[in-house]
Amino acid sequence: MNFRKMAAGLVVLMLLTTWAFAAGSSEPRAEAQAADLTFTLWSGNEAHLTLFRSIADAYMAQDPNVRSVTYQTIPHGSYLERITLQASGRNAPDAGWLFERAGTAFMDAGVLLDLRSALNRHDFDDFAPAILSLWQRGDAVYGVPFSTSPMVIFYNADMFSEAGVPTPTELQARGEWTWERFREVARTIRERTGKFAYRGPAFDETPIRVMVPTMAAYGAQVWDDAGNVTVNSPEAIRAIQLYHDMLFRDQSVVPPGNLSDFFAGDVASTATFISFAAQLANVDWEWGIAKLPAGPAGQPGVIGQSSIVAFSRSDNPEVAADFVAFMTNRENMTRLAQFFPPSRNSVLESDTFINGNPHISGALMASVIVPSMQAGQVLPVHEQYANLLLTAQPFLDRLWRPGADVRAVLNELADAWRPIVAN
Amino acid sequence: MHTNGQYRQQALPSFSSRASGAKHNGARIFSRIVLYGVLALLALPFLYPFWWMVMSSFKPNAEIFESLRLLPRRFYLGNFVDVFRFQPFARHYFNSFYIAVTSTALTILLCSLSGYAFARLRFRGSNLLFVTLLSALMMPAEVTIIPTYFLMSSLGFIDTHIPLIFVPVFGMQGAVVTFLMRQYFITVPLSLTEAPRIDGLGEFGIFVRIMMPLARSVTSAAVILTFLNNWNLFLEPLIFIHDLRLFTLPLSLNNFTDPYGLPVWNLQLTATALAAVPILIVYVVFQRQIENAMVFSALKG
Amino acid sequence: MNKILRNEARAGYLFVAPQLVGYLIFVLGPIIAVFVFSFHDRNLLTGANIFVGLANYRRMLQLDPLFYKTIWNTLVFTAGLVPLGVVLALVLALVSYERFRGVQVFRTIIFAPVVTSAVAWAIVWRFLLQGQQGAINQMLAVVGISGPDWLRDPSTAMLSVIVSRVVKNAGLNVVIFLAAISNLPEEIFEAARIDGANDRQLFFRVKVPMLMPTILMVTILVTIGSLKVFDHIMLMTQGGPEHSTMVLVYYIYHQGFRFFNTGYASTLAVVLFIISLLLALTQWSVRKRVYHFEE
Repeated sequence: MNFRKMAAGLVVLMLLTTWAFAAGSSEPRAEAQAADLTFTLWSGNEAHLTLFRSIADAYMAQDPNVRSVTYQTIPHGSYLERITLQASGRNAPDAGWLFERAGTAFMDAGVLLDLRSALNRHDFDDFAPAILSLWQRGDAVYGVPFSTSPMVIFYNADMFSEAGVPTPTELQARGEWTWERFREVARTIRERTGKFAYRGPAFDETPIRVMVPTMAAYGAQVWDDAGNVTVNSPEAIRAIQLYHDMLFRDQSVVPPGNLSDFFAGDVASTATFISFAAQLANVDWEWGIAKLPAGPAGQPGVIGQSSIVAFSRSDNPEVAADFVAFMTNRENMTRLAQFFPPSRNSVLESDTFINGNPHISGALMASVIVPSMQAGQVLPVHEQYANLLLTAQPFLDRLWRPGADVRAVLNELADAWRPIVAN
Repeated sequence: MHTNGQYRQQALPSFSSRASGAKHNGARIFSRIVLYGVLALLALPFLYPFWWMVMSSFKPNAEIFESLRLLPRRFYLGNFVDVFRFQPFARHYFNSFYIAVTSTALTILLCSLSGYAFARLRFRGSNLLFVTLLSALMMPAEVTIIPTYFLMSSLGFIDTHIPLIFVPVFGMQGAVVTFLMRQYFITVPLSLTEAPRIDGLGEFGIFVRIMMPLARSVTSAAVILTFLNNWNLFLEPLIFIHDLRLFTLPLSLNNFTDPYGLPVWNLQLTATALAAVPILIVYVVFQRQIENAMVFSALKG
Repeated sequence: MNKILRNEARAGYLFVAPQLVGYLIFVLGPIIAVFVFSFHDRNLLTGANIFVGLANYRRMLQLDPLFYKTIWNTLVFTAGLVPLGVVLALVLALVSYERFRGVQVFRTIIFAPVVTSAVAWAIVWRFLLQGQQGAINQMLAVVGISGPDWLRDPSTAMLSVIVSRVVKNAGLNVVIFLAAISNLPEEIFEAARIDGANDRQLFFRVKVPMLMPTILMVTILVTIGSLKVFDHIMLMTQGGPEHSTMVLVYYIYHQGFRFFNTGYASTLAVVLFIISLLLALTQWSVRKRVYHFEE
């Protein structure tokens, strides 16, 4: 056997191997009838998974062609990157959760399935139009919000009373619940208890969201719908300067990299989504919920929204869309409502939702949560969100340091963002 | 600095017991003290991280940042339970283990075969092929990770352990083993294989029955290197694995984060200790072999 | 006889074949593909893949200031790592060559980080290097120094990564040096001492020159190793703050798997490929000169 023959043989072998690999992996298609669905989510919480599994069981019972439903937990921090990779390949999941901030990019890229016809089979008109609007393009619906969660202030009432200051709920009742007033209160808490008074959204994981609570109260947006960058508008600069002063001048807010945690009782308050209430189940201190502090632009409402979508690369697009519709039908959404604020009017107004939350009283649900859900403005979204985020990172690194020139940094950030936002 | 004092105190008794006989030599005692002081200082950055890691795994989260105490207030064991509740850590441990074992076995098998061929068999182009295979040594995985991702994705192997088992076999780790095995087989005297060959034993028989049993020590060095390399892979699982249940240890360690995305330090350090300590124990037991294997591959590879 | 040779050749090809096939699929194929990808612009989400000629290269050289910063950072990293790593290893080797009680323990301690996974190592160092709460700053506070927020301050982040990395790999180089030192012929030192050389002269005039080939070898090894810092950067700084630790290997990941610019990331990978190749060739030629005894 000579060298050339050998080389030819090797190439053939290589091709054969590749073919064998490829053939091996497409083998499940043989039984085109039976569908195996994969559903991605970022929760590994057993209670959540148990509920979702029981929904899957019910679905398989009614449709014998669905052989299995696999729930795949992808950690929250890397969810978007990984789901983007998955959606591009042959291992694309069939359906899954998606954040509001990725929705636009995914819809534009055509990787989401139109769910409209599947949803029509399950009383489509029941969905609250305001809540659904982000995921609609004309008649098409690309996602069903299953968790429309207003950002609220959780506070540790014991720490407020230890510092001798009024709680957010009391301030709200007096009409004094503004960022300016909160700054004073926070300073007092810091002085009298030595603890931090507030923890905002995470600097590392959600850097753009960090700016949102204060900016919304000042009527500022990071960018607007018309494609203008507004992160350096006068209102935005005032709002960010205020937060910056709280962080580094007053040192009343948890700075980047510090691990003091509200839920561990180290911090007097935090702004987050109501789904976090579950973490307060076993704390031994008094806590409360209030709306976000107001500002010159009035009472802000900020909503985080996650949807259930079906992916167009799915091997069984029809089944995937139908499964999503089934999962969000009235009965199942009512069951999901114990964890996730729903998007169906019938469930929103139902007793199960208002009084069924194990952690938040019916009165608070009706007075704080439901109005915030219906009035709020969804967190910033953009089809280039990931790009904007990564572009912003070095500027935000500089912004959230003591002594940063807020105006100058925001101007530079705006310059860097402009070509991307306008595009 | 507080910690230095600790080490110096530990070092002194062993020294003084020995020096008592040499009382007349004050200068020598002084130089010994200086020596141990310098040693303690030099060892500090090597030992301190381990010490801190292991001790932190016995501290509840609240105590972790509290003080510079070298020992926890009391040995709290809750972390060792919570680590397994936080995420399927035991499963990640098992994943890493079986992947490293499988990949190591495969590497040893394929690479000792080719190492043997390059050392003992005459065939046209063997030198060229040898250099070609060795070129994998110079290629950082980062160079080829993007096309490899697309290859795996088009084959449907994303979110399977297949790429973690197979890709390293032919990359740097495989090239090192091929080289090690060839270098060893070259030194085996020809006379050992001549007689069996005349008796009609085929090349594969010679390889399996004669050569591999001889190569026990070099094989164990290769096993150590390959296993460690595979056990510590980070980039590959980061790219190829998305599903939490399929995570390997390095991914798992980085995934002990709170809802804000910040590390849950007590759990992360406990998990890190659980991942690192067994390897350290194995290292202490097989110290000489491991050091030799690593130096050999660093210098020759 | 001819038949035996032919059988031998056949066995040779068969034995080499499995690794060779794998090499073609998993190493050579992807390297060729990286070059091909670097001429394309591929959108992962939509699946669009357009041939763009040299546009990625033009972008890299003319439009991407971050690329130059990345190259600069890579040089800074190497320039910091190599002298520090080599000198520290040499010092440790000389110290642990001395015979004293506990030397074996000392060497074990020095080598232990080498077998520890980079992920575990980086996690522990990130913990020690934290701003107000980190152990290193708490120690500094005891002696009255207010330490910086090491990994979030652009002026100290690179230094922190370099130091943690030097400590991680020093043990390997120590053992290499130890082997070289113990191979030095004792008689020469005796002769030098008889000729009246003091300890310092002995060290700088005799020992160091004799160790020069090994020092050169270790320098090259550390230089090559300095390219492979992905895990340290990923876990400690993610290229931040303000891109101050963005080195080439991490920038490839950043562009390829965070921005999903796989075409552009492939262009960067081509640069890494060329750098690795040059370093490998240097190593090859130096080693030939240093160890002529190799077959």
